Amino acid sequence: MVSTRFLIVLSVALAVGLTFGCAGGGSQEGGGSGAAVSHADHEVAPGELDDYYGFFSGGHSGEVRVLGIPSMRVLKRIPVWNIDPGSGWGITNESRALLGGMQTGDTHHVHGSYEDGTYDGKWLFVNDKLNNRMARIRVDLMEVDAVVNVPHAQGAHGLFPQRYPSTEWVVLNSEFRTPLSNDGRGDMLDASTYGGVHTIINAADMEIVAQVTTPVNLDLAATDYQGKYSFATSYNSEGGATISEMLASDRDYLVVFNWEAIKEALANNNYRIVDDIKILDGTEGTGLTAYIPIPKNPHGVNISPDGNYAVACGKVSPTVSIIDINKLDDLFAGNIEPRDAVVGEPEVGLGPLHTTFDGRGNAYTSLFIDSQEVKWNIQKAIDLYSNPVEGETAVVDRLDIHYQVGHTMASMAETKEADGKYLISLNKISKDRFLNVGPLKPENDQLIDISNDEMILLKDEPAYIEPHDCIIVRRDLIEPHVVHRAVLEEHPLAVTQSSVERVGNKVTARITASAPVYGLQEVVVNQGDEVTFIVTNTDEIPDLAHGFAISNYNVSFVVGPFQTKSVTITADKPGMYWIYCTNFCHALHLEMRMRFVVNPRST
Amino acid sequence: MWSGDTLAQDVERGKAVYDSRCVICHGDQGDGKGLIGIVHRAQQNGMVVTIYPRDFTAGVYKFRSTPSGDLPTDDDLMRIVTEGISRSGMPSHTDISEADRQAVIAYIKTFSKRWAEEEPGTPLVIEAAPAAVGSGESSGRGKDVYATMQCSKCHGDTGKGDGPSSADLEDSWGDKILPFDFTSGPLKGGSTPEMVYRTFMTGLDGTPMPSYQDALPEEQARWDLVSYCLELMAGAPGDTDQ
Ligand code: HEC
Ligand code: HEC
Repeated sequence: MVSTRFLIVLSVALAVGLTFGCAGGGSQEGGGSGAAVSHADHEVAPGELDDYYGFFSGGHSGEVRVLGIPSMRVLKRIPVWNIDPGSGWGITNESRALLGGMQTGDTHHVHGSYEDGTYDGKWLFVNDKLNNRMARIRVDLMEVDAVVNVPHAQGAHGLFPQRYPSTEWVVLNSEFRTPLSNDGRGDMLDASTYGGVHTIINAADMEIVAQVTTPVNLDLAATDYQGKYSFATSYNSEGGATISEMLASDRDYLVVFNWEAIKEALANNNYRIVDDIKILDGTEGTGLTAYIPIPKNPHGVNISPDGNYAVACGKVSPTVSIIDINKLDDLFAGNIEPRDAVVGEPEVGLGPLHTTFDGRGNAYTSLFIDSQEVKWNIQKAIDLYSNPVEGETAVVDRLDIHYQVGHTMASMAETKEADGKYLISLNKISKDRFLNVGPLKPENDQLIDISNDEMILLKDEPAYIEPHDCIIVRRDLIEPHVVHRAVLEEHPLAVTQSSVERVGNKVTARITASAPVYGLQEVVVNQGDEVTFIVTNTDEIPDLAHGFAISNYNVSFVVGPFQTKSVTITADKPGMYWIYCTNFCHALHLEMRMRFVVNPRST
Repeated sequence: MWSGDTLAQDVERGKAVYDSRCVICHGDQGDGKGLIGIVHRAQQNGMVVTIYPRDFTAGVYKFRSTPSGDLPTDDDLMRIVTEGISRSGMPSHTDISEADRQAVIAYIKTFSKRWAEEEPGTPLVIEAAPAAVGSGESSGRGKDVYATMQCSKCHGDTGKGDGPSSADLEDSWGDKILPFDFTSGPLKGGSTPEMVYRTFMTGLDGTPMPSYQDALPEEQARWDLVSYCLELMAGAPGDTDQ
């Protein structure tokens, strides 16, 4: 039965794929309450501030974006894995040291650090699916301050921080099965030797605590509200290497990781060490994991704000699976069978990918193929699972979105303080919703009011490539932690007095930037010298940033109040080059310049 | 050490340096009204205050080694011109030659007749800070000194520059001035124990920051006060300007 349903779904999916090509065939009005309404309550007038911060991933743009919600105004783009000439990320010595020469990346999931089930305003964490890393963003500066490289993993995808008692661990799943020690030895084409790892990272020191290996692939991640379990959906229990192989069986898994058992295994040295990393065996029967069979090729897993349920989305099955987290102790104790933990499996529509919550007992699931948000009642779904009633459904409301939604997230929904005000539908396709800008069109993030029984579409927001996921955080949890200026002394090289120092052919120019003058008016070096510029913005009032750009030397960065950044270049081009301030700072900003003089090598 | 004789050719060379490097801030009349004096720089407790470039026509200087009311020594001026004054917009000038710096100092003296009428004061002798400075004990005693000397009236109980008088202070030029927020980062007059000692011993002429040379005759009490100031400076980092 499941397989016939699967066939229908897949053929519809293909059909949707084809219709992408013939966009522009008139706007598709949303059904039911889908007509766009603009409510004055949700307007943020000029000069007013938003109620929520939205932290969005930027996909293969490599960045993280900060939006104000409900205005959907983009407030900041935090460069993470990309080069950003605006701020100098990927150009300065500080950022290059963190990036380790890899300046592309793919951010999917941004999550905040927690204290007792809600955000503590300290850090954000974001993955790099491309080069298999995780970055930490300091909320006070909203800049990346640490990166950890994750070996033994490819497709480092699902990421989730510990929610209780506070974020000590962050888990990161590898979506692509790979050979563990991927060093070219062995038969690399023999997929049966591949596996997926659930990597545990210490949030404070950004070191890998351990990796739990599984034979399956691990996609999205979640943690519970008690500090006991983490979760991963697995869509390739077949261990296939081609798409046909990956879709062979009717059931895949929700994999549950038992933290107590993991800690015990670590304490008892029950691990092997590969490339300096503790590797725990997480195959079935080790007690570290449970594999709960759910309909084939699931995608998102999200935890209800009361901490009771893990909801896994079917993707190719039109259902979601509700797993009772309170039954997991019994499952690990061997008192029940894995499927006994499943307490509901409502049919919600085609292509369910992710679920979010309003804190009032309702769940909202994104339907990629149907291009809909579907609202359903969790308790009703559970009741109907044990007591099916002909003609009854847990579905409360449906809203057409535009088009092909991936992730969806409600305000505060990944905390115990879910408040059910706003829902974001992160749509992959915008088709006809905006002026045509050529073949590469923006995505469409739609804002939906969920404070009523019916969902109401409020806004379309074009987004550059490609937000996958977001969190929506109450302003009062973030704003008090964000500073207007850095702590000057925090950078070990902070400059309060400008100077030039030479040791052999290495020249260090320490420069203050204070509107509208640099602390040096000229730096004179010899061709071939290795020159390090260290620039501190000694202006301390909010929003007075200075740029530092060296003409023809491909160097440009910006320093915020009391920040220090540095860059090292080889002075290989003789001549006089103006260094200038790129960031408007003063009425005499254009005059904020200094000269960089490179004497030709004597022949 | 540099003798500091104001030779005519020094003054001429000094004017050239001044016109190239200083005039934009200190003005062609030396009155601190150069084109630049229009940017706000210090912010504290929601108040934004402009720090104007020094008016050389008054012949009044803040960062000296000499007693309150006296002219600074040439070494004092040389230090300021070379190193600059952190967090005030007065840049360092390490990229011009020492001779040029001497010359420009000779030149700025021509803006005030005080320099023709008075000799610079005699520098205070400041010994190296005793080993106890920075200890909890010394700082504990310094806290009492801070209270008796009523530093907190201006600098506040936690050194954040938010004491009861802090909002109404003006300097000799009638401009608003803020008592320094010790917790906000490096001090203008320098942050080493000896520099902090110097600052409250000499006072900052032209500002409400008085000299405590007479009020605090006891050497140990002075160093204890330094210890306490350092403790305050190590206090709450960052600034959310709320
Ligand atoms: C970018 C602006 C700027 C430039 C350029 C500048 N100054 Fe200043 N200068 C200031 C400011 C502002 C102050 C006052 C700082 C304070 O009161 O905290 C100051 C103060 C001074 C003082 C007084 C120190 C004291 O103890 O009171 C001297 C002396 C001085 N500058 C000399 C110079 C000379 C000489 C030059 C050129 C070689 C120069 N300045 C260039 C901004 C500037
Ligand atoms: C009447 C108000 C007032 C009192 C009382 C006062 N100060 Fe100050 N103080 C100031 C002001 C104003 C400044 C800043 C001057 C400037 O920025 O040019 C200052 C600056 C300072 C600085 C130097 C900061 C720097 O940037 O170098 C130190 C150190 C200092 N005070 C210590 C003390 C100590 C210690 C006491 C008590 C013994 C004290 N002050 C009492 C007003 C006061």
